[in-house]
Amino acid sequence: MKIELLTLGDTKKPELNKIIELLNAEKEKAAQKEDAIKANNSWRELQVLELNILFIRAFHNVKTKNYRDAWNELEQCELIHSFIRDNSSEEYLCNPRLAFIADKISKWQSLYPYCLFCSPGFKVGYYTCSICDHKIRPRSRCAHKKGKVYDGQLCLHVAHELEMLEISMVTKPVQKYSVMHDDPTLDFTLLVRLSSFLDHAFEDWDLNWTTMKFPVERFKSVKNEDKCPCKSGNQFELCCMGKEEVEIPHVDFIFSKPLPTDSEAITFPYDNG
Amino acid sequence: MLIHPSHGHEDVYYAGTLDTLDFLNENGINTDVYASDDEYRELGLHGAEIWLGTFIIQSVIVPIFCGVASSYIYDKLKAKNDDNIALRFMVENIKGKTTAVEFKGKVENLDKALDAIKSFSED
Repeated sequence: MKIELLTLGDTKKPELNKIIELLNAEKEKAAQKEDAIKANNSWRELQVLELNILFIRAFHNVKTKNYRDAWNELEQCELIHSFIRDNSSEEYLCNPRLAFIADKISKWQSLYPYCLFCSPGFKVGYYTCSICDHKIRPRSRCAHKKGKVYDGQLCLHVAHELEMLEISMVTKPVQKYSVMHDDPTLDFTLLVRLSSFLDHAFEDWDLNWTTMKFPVERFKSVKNEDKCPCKSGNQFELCCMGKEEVEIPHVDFIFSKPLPTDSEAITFPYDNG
Repeated sequence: MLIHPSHGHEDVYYAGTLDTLDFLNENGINTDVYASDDEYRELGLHGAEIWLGTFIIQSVIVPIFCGVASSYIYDKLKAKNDDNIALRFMVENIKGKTTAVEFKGKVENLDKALDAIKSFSED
């Protein structure tokens, strides 16, 4: 059975559920027969389907301005892709759809304005293996390795006897979903601009981060005490305010399809106000 | 080689210490942690900074260790150049003299630090 998986509508088709049920049944059957290769292949196919569905949902949520939901889905895509990557051959990972998603996850994430996250710190008493419940100690391990798939089951380590130590604010989190600030002041312009040119999640595009200089007069909306647009982290007054030109981060979007000529105009974020 | 508890804690090890331990042992560096199986506790600090911990190491295996550590950081942890990393070596030479080397910075500068440790261990 083959179906097209391109749009949000495709992810809701009953045929897709049938394929998922079929793959789950095949995985169970293979595991019972101790056919590890077949069980692991079914696991992989299920993960790839899940990855595609999440990526399409994330794209749809960006398009409909549900940025936080899309952010969380992109993180789930990142995790699922890392598990697929660690349990697949190089050849399998070259599959165009899989390679496309892997390439685009971090690029979409790089366009988000989120920069502050909360990070819980724990003391972990001990871990157990999610497959066989073995208590993991420095000198005692089971046959399963964390992150690897056995008979269609992913091995993870489950933490026990957690003791909360602190909650920190960090700029680079392990869990990206722990965004601390989600308010109307956040600027999603880059996501709006990019998604306005894309009709579906798998249309090809790329980006190129660079910088661009603008005359200081164009930054009248920036107050003296505001952060400098050059992103040095210093106050505008103490940084670039006295210069003739201000060099700010700039991103070029590159598309594989032809665009209307007016779409090449540069969006300047400091003209309002 | 011996891995010591995390900086600032007497009895707790950095998250992923057992993964580091396995990787070093699988790659020919005989390694242990300075804790009994019952005492061993791990810290789960959920910032993406990579804290590898304190390694007590004999100067003769420094060159091999640097190669394996580099492979662990880049290939296994998939560290990117702008990730922050912290690790500390206590290098013990044949005469029993111990020197501490600490690195805290961007992954892109780690190679320079490892090269410095290698040349220093040859002295």
